[in-house]
Amino acid sequence: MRAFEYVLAGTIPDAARALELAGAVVKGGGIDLVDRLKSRTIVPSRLVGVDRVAGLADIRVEGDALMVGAAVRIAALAEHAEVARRLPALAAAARDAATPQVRAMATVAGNVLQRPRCWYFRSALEACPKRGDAVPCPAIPGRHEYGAIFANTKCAAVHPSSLAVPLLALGAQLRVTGPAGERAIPFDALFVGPDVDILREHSLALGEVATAIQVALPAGVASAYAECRHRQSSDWPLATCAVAGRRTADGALSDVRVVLGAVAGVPHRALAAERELLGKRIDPALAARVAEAALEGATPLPLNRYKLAIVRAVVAEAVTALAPL
Amino acid sequence: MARHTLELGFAGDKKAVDIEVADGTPVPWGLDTPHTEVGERIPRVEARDKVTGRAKYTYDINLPGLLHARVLVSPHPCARVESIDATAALAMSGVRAVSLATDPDWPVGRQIKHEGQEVAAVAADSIDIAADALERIVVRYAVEPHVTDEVAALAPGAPQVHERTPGNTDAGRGQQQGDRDAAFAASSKKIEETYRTQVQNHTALEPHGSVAHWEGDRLTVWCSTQGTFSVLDNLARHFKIPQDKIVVLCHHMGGGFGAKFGAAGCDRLAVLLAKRTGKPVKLMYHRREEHLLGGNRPSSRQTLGVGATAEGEITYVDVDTSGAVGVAGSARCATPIIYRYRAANKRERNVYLHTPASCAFRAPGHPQGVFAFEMAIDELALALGLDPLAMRRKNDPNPVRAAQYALGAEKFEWATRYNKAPGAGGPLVRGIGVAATQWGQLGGPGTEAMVRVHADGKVEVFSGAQDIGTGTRTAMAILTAEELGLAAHAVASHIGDTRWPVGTASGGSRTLPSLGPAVREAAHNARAKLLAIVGSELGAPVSELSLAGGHVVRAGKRVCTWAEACARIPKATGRIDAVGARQADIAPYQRTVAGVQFAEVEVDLRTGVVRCTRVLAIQDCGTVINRLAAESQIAGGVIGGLAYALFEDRVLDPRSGRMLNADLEWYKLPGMRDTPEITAIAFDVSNGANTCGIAGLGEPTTIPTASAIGNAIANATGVRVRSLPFTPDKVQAAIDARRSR
Amino acid sequence: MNDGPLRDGLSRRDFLKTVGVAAAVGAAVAPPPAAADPAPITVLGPGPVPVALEVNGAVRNLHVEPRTTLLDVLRDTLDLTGAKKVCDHGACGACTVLVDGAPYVSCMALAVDCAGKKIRTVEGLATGDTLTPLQEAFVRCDALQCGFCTPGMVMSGTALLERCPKATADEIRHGLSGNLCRCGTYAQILAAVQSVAGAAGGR
Repeated sequence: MRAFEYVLAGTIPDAARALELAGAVVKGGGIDLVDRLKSRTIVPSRLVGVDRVAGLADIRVEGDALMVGAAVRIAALAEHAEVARRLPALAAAARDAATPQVRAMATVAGNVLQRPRCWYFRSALEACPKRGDAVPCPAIPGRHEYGAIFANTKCAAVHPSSLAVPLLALGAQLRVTGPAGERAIPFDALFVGPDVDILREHSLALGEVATAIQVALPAGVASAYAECRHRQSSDWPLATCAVAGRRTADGALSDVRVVLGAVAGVPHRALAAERELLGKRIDPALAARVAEAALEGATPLPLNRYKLAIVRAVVAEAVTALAPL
Repeated sequence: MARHTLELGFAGDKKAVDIEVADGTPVPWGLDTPHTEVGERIPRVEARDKVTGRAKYTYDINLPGLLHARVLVSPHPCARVESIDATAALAMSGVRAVSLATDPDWPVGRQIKHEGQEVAAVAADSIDIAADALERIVVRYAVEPHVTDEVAALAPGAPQVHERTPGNTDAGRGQQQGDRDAAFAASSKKIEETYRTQVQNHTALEPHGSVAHWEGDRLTVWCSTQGTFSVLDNLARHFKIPQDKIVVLCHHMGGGFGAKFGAAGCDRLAVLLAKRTGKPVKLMYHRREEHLLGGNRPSSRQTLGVGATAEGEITYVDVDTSGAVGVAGSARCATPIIYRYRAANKRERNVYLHTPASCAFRAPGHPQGVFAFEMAIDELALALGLDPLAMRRKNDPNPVRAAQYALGAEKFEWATRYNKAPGAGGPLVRGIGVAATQWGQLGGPGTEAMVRVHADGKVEVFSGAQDIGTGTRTAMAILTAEELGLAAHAVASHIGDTRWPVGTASGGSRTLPSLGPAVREAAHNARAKLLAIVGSELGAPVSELSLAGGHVVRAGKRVCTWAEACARIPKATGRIDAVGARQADIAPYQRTVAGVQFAEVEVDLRTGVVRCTRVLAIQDCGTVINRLAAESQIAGGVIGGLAYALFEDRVLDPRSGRMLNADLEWYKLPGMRDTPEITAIAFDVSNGANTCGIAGLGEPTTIPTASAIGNAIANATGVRVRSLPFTPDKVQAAIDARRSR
Repeated sequence: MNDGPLRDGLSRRDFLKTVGVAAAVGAAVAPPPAAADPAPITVLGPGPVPVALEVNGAVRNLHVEPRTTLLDVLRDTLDLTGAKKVCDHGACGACTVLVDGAPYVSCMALAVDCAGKKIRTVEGLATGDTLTPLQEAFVRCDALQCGFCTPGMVMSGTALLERCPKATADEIRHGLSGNLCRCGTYAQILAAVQSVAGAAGGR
């Protein structure tokens, strides 16, 4: 890490003001940021710590919405009884993310807004278009076995967030505060793929700070999450899937969403899979059809074709978990 | 000289050997020797220091005025350093000294032939300042073409790694035994398959490194090493320091696995920077550097042909191997042909690349060679329609393994589980597999030890050698206690200090088979001195006295307590010092140790993800000194083998040649959720190689695991994956290939 | 959470210097408030700043740079070298300490962020020569070889058992899955933690 100056903000407005300095960055749990500071792939002038902002680490149910403070630790989310009861997909993703230590330190907002773990992006030795170097993505002709199988012509990095996958499936919103005031960004509009802007993965404006994640809790909401790892201890998943919707009387789901993780530069909504799943009674045969549909548009690279089968497996598993008893 | 009949082997195969025992030397232990401490389950004597954080490793040494150093390494696999400008770094506050590859006294290589070669080092007031300084050192490289891929290296026109190895390979070595043509002709079943293994990095948790401290012309070096004496010798030669002016210390070390024998670049640079600054300097490799400079096991590409008669008698074994060693090393695949055979034909060669040098790694050559061989034997058995375990039992002449196969078959329920292990249901299928191995190192002379008995009854045992993690201190205490009739925890062990008696480097599983008998002899000599004192006071012949249960015993009766005996040591000296040495081998029961492992896996047929669920490892380890530590060693070897089988792989960018996963995030080591249920059986064999019958076991236990897992995958899925590691892509591809047939 | 695109950190930083945005150096100093500021923002660093850390029950008053990790302060300043630096990347768990009871990889925590929190290291577990039941179990079960991962394992196990005294085998595997051991002592570590959890009534 190069030296930087540090502001421990007491309030969100303080944090927003401290962020006005060019090159200032927000620090939450620091798991993503400190790693990039250490590799010196980021050299900010100032860190603005938001950990001491009052109320930022609270989980509350407000009416029919769950409000998860931006600085809530992943471990706290995983252990929250109401989350486990009403949003099992979110609880499951939180429970198995990273390691116990990282879950204790990392914040939910930091998890959602973290930058890719791509080994080219994370190495100061490698030129990478995502860091602004005028080169094509080195992973595409290089090593991309853990890389994207969708929308991967400009960049093969996958979005690393485990929580973003169920949150997008659940139609969550990210609440942010910035120079222009407060706003809520639907997760549908939060993520930015490499085809739109290779330099970032989210749509927060400069100086905006995440304050909370809001998840609606409509009656009958059902969700499930599945992931596949190579190594069972502390590994990045090869693919994840969250399915969410509302149960209908006939054993089907309405308002259904199928989201895939670790397969694209953003959490990937599998729209064809959603169409296949919508309104149909769930059984193993349907799960298999949904899993196949989830691959629509996939453009695997030579070393990651194996991910197709893994996506099929996690989609089928998540869908099957929502079958009527 | 006295004649003595030594009973060797184990219950299933006893062998009596007549030997001569020199006067005053300990009578070798045999199968029938009773023990009180040896073979018990004794917690490590240093365990309390390790669980409280009190154990000080090299990385933990803090001294007044200590400077922290970092190395700058080449990002290029092949280059020449044209110039280095460290002006800006030296101008930084807190930077105390630099050493550059362009300096006349640069203590490391200058030619850059792999990524990670050191080009500069900085000593500074803090580790952060040292890292800042590295960024300010400007190195101008003349970058030259490189080759880091084995296939590309052998292609015409490839960049040449060394002038002496045109075509990036050597002449190779060949070996032939028996009449291969006749054996081939006699075979009713033949298979030929190619197997591949990956490069595996040692990845010791404590990196290489030293703390160097000069006081005048005397040098003290704390070094994370598996060879304190070799480090001393290396440093003395390199820096032309008189050997009596150097002390090398290693009280605890965080893993070596074969890569920490001599003084590495970081160790020399620490000494140089300490000299230059006049202050103590700590230089430990950072994790990326440790991956690049901390050693690796060569890859292998092995084509095996094996044949058998219709009855399953193995006829011939053809082995053709090559392996990428990097800039240096040996890719020799040890293929110990543990079965009867008529003819064998081996060819092997090294391939040189612009990648870091490979070196000895836990059972050098064996995990790769045995992986291929034990897979091929399995394939041959299945091709013959034979049970793979029955095939091994039929062909294996070793009586120890015969007993181990029988024990394992029963404990692992082979007959009821092979081909029919119940799966967890759905896409998850289970299977079991077996693999066998041998190891051939029983230590040797050149190691000494000292036992000190104080007048107040305290006992200490000393060796200048180090503990690589196997429990050397505890074994020394057990052996001393056994000889003196005391409890192991009554003995204080001191190791890792070159001022103490010379000891072997910890490699080849030879530490305890070398050190143990020296300790026993030292304790035996201390015993004789003490009994002589007691005997002269009592007027009893020494030959009638012995030590047992904390007492001096004569004719079955306790004469006095240990403390009373020690109190008779003359006050003028107040203690007894006795040295002992490892003598030449006596009469080994076998020159090799035998092991068999069984593995169970669960394979997800959809994803290709493999989980190893159970392992049974049965290992001949000679006379077991500490059963607790022996079982830990066996289980640890299994985890190492499992890591090799399922996870570890060095990933290089095909264009830049740089390592992409030089961390512990993408260089995957297994964790607790990947750990199978392990049953470790330390299989006692009295081998008679030395006075304690000790055989080492650090290495053999890691050899057969990968092939047992591979054979279990084949049993679970019906498909053979012939390439390590068994990652989901390869397992899927093998399953798909069968489906499409 | 939002660092925006940063094309070249170095040149950005140099830019800051040229336009004269003063970085506060040395002890905590507030920059002159901008015209619109209702209250000044306290800027720490980039040089050493005063930090009070409560480590194993004792408050230590230190001067550390904001960039200095908790691990480096523990090891290099306080000589508490039980926590080890292995991957320096948050991936191996060898540097695990407890911060307000939660297991932290201290290589990824900034020391300044830990001010006011209760830090416990492996050196703070035993009372005199009396080990904790988990430490005793590690000794008894031979749950260590070279011992370099051991302090981190002990701390992760301690954190788990404090939260979940009767942890099951699966919970133990889950709770210790962030700690790597190269010697391969996992089976013995599992047995050690199980023996303590079992004594507390767990399975």
